[in-house]
Amino acid sequence: MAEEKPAASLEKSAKYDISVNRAWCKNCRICISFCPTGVYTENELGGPIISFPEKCNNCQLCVIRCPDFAITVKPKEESKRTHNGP
Amino acid sequence: MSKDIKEYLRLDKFPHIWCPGCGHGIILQAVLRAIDRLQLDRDNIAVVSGIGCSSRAAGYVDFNTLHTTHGRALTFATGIKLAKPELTVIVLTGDGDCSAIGGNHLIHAARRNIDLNVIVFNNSIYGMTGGQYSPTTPTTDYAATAPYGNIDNAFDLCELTRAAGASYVARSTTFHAAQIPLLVEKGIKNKGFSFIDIITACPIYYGRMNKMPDAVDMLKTQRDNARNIKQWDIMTAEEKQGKFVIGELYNKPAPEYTDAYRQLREKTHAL
Repeated sequence: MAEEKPAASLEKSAKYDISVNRAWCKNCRICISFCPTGVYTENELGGPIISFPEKCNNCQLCVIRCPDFAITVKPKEESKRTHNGP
Repeated sequence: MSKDIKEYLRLDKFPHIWCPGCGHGIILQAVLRAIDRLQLDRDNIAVVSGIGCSSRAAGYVDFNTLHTTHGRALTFATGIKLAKPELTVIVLTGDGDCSAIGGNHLIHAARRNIDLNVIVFNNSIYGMTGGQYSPTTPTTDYAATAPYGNIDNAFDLCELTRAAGASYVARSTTFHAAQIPLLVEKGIKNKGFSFIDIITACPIYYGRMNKMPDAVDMLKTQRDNARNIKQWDIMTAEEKQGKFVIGELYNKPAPEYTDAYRQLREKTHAL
């Protein structure tokens, strides 16, 4: 899987789009250890799983501390939120 | 709205060759953020690097780039700046590259106060060749060539360049990654020799030989040992043991070399 995304059930409650580029990530665990709110948990290789995307407050610390340019955190697009609206 | 920093990268070269947990990627990203904040024209930037892990950075960024010989990044950069003073010249170099092999070039570039922006990826080790100790390896630390502990005293590169005549000197760490773009931005704006020393982690060689084989441990060490300049000023000599200062350490504009050269040329042409 190229992009690590939060599980579909969790994604609805999250305010921000978090994704980890699996092809670039080298499992250094910096994002997991230094996330102030604990969004990530560790998988069996030491790489991040986006377990609690709803906790993200868009501080961008994981993005700027990622040595591999693998993480992106963006506010969710408006069009997605109103997708099922009237 | 600023651009996505991935637009400044040569994406076909990714993922990069740096080891898991190596802080060089953090510094490269921070430098790109600084360039993005300044909204500089990509064609007016020249990135020069020497040899070493850190110097691979020039290959990953989409500007005018020059990957030069070992220790000679500053000499090539001096040539570029004198030939084309309108360019913003950024030198990405390692601690060994700039302070050991190119040590003489560093002090003389600082002495001239030529408008170069030097960003040192200071990981206290020669990573690419297998972990030999460098001039910035702290005393008593271990390296491949110091299996019983290093007996050399380490260089304080910021004090060195400040004494040699640099007009802007700053230091940060990869833990304080949010601070680096601010320092680099001020360095680029400064007309004169700007020296920014970034303490970074080499968990594979330096870390493994000094009981910190993990990138997270190395970043925690940086966090615990770094002291802000304001706090540093009121600390006693005892408290300063084993700690280092971060932030903007020196900023005093001084006459710049390419300006002086242009004035000299105008004066001699008028004769």
